[in-house]
Amino acid sequence: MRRLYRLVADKLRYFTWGRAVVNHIGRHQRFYENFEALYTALILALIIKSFILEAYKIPSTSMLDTLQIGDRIFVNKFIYNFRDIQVGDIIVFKTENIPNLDSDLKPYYIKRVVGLPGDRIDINNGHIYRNGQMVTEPEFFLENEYYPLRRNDETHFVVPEGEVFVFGDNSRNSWDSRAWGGVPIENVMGKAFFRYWPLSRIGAIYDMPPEPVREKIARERGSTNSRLYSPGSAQASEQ
Amino acid sequence: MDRYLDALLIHLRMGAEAAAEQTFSTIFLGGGTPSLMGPSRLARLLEAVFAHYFIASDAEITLEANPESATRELFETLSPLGLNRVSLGAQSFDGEELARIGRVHSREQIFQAVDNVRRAGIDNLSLDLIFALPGQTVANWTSHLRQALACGVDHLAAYALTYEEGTLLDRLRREEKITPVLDETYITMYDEARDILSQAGWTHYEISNWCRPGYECRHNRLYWNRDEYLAFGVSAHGMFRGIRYGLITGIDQYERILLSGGWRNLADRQSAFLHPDLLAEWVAITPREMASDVMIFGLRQTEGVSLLHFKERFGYNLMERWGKAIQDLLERGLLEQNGEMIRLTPRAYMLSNEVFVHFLD
Repeated sequence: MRRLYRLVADKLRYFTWGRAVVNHIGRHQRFYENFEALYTALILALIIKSFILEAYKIPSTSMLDTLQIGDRIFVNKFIYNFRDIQVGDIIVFKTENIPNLDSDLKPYYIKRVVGLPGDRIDINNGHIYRNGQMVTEPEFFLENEYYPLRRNDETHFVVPEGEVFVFGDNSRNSWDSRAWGGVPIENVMGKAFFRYWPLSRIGAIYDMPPEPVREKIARERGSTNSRLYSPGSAQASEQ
Repeated sequence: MDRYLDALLIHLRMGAEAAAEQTFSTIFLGGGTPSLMGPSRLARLLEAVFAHYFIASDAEITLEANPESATRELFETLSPLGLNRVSLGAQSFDGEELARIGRVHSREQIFQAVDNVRRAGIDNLSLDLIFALPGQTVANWTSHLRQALACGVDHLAAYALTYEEGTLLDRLRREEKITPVLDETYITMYDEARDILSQAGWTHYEISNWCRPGYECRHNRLYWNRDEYLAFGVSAHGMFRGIRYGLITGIDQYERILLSGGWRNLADRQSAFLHPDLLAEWVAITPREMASDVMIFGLRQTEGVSLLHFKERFGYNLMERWGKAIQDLLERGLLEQNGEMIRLTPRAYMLSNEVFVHFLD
């Protein structure tokens, strides 16, 4: 108790006569205190980045209209310690050891989960069917249209054990599980949950973009029928 | 240049597996000026195409060349390898007009190039001409057309000069250093082209393309009918299994990806040549969009769109989707129906975009 009292008294003295005290304790001490503050911040940042959340920037159109090029997002890195990956989650994952993906060129992808280990996935009439049932939850899946990647492609998949299937929301322009198969669960970095940039669209990443954004995008799409979306693949580069 | 050719040859080889069951009816070496690659490199390229793909024995094999690099050696090297069509980027027969749009060749060089093509025994020769060049008069333009006919070409593509935003020409126009021709002049020029060429017995088979009967460009036809074609080389655009794609534009990047051999590790060898790392843009075309494209590119061809073919290809009658718009355009005299064909009326050729917007959705 006495030690605590002294500690508080010292702090108070520091704030009250801070300048005098600093002068008194000298340059080395001051440098040390600044260093300590920086060091603590650094360690905290590292802990946050490793275990809690991490920032990514969206480089492609594969997750339109939910995420647009240049959006900056936070990924929740601890959530999957407490619950399993769910269909509809938007996840960021490492591309290493996924056949057909070049992890040197593009180390991270971001996609939406459509199938869990052992699921049978079909694409039919613009909708996803999971084990024979049309996926309607979250509501996003009802609104969005899904296509085979290429005409004549097979639209029937079985998700291997230990992997999840992921599709881009912009199904016409997404390089995803339809092409290269499942994502090993150990590759999953976390769940995208918050957009912090641009400020005009800051907020939680919902299943669907808010109504006004959707309308705007629909208008733009309508007026440029033959436009090509670019660029091709769906990669989230590390900040 | 040799590094680029090596990359291109590897890319060609990668595509072979996916296209193993196809027979190709056209080869088009174009986009820019492939003639700058020189005869021996182009020969290697053509040989590689024949080595990896099934090419129909009567395939149309076109090389785009600009007059200054259209040497006799070029055509004499490529003609025995199957080259049977040349498209010359003549643009204009007037040196001053050419200089104003930054082209360096002369009228004599065009004649020399035509001569070089013919001497190599190549039967099908096309010229690209541009009209509505700054400072061009109707009389200039008709003289170009007559000179083109006089040098005995088989096919003409005549496009009006457009000022694309961000180009040098557009800047010069805005700084009033060059004056675009008047709209009336531009329409008169187009009408003159139609008159002169039809009097010469030529077929006007697409809004901007004319030919002697039987010399329609089959490669363009395929493109306008929205059929599939593979593309190789930087910036090239292709259509494959319902995906329209454009390759990356950076030569360095193209070389690096292909020459590094990383593609060898790809499990999906079939579509390795279309790996997204090689693509600048791509999109899967929906049947609805495809139908719009078929309608628009079909109407650009003077014979028009066949109701029967459309139904066969898309499974519904185009009148179900656009009946109202078509009725309206028929009444305004921009479209006409002849049996099962719907086509533009000649007066709609210059207003075609006004027609096409109706088919965008």
